[in-house]
Amino acid sequence: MSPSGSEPGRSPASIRLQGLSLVVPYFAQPPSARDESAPGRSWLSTLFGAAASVPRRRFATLLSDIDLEIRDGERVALIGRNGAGKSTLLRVLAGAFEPTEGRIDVTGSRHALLSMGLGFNSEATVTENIYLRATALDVPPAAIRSMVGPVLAFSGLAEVADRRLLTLSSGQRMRLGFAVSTMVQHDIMLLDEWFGAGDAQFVRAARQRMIDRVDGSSILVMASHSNSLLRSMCQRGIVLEQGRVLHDGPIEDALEAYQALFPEELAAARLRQEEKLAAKRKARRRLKKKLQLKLRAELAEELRSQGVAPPPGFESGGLR
Amino acid sequence: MTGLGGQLASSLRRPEFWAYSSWLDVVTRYRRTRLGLVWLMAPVLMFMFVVGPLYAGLFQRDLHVYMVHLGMGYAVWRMLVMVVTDSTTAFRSNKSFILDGKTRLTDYALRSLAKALFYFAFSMVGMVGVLLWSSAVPAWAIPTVLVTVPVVVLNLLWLAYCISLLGARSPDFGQMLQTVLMVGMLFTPIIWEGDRYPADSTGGIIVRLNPAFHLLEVVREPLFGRIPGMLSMLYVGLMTVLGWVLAAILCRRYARYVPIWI
Repeated sequence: MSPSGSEPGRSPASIRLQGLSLVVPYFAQPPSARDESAPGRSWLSTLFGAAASVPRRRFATLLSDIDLEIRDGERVALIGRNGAGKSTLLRVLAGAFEPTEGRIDVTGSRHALLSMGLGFNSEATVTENIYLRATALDVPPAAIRSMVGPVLAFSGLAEVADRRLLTLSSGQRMRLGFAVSTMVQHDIMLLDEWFGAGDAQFVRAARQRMIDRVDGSSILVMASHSNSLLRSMCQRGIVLEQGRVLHDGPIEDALEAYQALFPEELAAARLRQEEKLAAKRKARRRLKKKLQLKLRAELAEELRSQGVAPPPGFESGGLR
Repeated sequence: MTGLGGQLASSLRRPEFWAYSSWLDVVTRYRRTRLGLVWLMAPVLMFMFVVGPLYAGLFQRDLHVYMVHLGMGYAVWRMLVMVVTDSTTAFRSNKSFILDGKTRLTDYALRSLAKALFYFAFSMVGMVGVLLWSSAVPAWAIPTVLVTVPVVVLNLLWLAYCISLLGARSPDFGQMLQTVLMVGMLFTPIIWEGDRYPADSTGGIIVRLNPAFHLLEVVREPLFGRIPGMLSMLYVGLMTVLGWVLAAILCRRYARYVPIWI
């Protein structure tokens, strides 16, 4: 549990992708099976078609020609719309998917927090599931025993430790997964949208834990749609679009480049901003005017108290 | 990705995950039942004590011989069926672990095997009693299971690995195996005895193509104090070697695709 990231003499972690592409097979029903508007097709034949049509095997290119180098100490955000390849790239970095073309070199121990709620046995108790998850993470048995207490404390599930997992809510399950996964410190952390559920208090605790963990690990790659989160945790942003790297640079530029993917939304946002600006200007003008009137009135009052008649303009702007 | 040997070695060095998770699977299944783990022993006991006397009478066999024949045969067969059915979906049902980068696939094959082995071990509790009681089994012959069962396990492991790979690629494969296994129970000398079909008859040749026939032969014959037939020993020996070679080839060729198949 000690942060291995700050150990002296550790070889620096790094990730290097060269010309990496990933092509995966998928199955698709032939189009006729769902073509309901086809003339002359009875309801019965639609039913039959759904049962008998053989799905075809097709190939999809999820990532194409990605060159990337992430060096020790970098915090990288993966940005992109749904289906752009963020999770796929994380899975490649985690070592689950092997590239179809190109190569990937990773030095340092890596830990993926990609599917937090999964990999549990819902019939087993909470404590048993902590053991299960921890053994899956290759934690030595002796270390697991000392992990159980802290995990239960962090996830706030100590009073339900002996209940079966399926009696827990999805938010509680997520807490448990999060707590177990982040007990161990690794060199490279890979995160995918890890705030699924969870109440405000837990989210705050989790954020703090993440910041601690991320400080300990030397490379962080995370995918998220929360700009504020990405801004607070990453310095570098990579925008993915249809499996390609669209932009790679400082996080602010990357978020801007991502915004540029949505021209109409960008225009709307600009309009909103202009309106806001105009309103602000107006308010400021009004305030200035008010202040002026108030000053004049005060001045007039003072002159009168000294027996001097104030100039006409001042009198009219008196206290109203 | 390392080769099959390397994978297997590291799986065996770190047994915590597959052993613990499969044990948890077995235990939690019976947790809510009143009799608990007794249910693990029930099927084989039931078979021996209900079907045993019935068919021993029907076939006019000596009960001492027949109970051992049936009980041991059914226990091994059940282990085989469990390994096969569980491995067809082994990778798919552990998808979340695999996609998180835990790609040591032998862990999941071992998981399927370990589950079946737990069941087998429990069924042996009753079986040992029958072995001690039976006058057809000399006491010195009982420890031979400590040699013969590991041979079976060795075969089941390569089988589990190959089936889980092929099952991950094509769901048809799993369906096919289930169909074959349904017939296989009747095709294998569990209820009937192998010597009903002499080896030189047409029927005898056909039943002797069945690998389960020889696996059972190798386990059961030594219990009666006999040496299993040359053919069976050769068959099992060859099957063990070729099976592992097949597993190694499949591993080299296909293991890297498993995450994208599932």
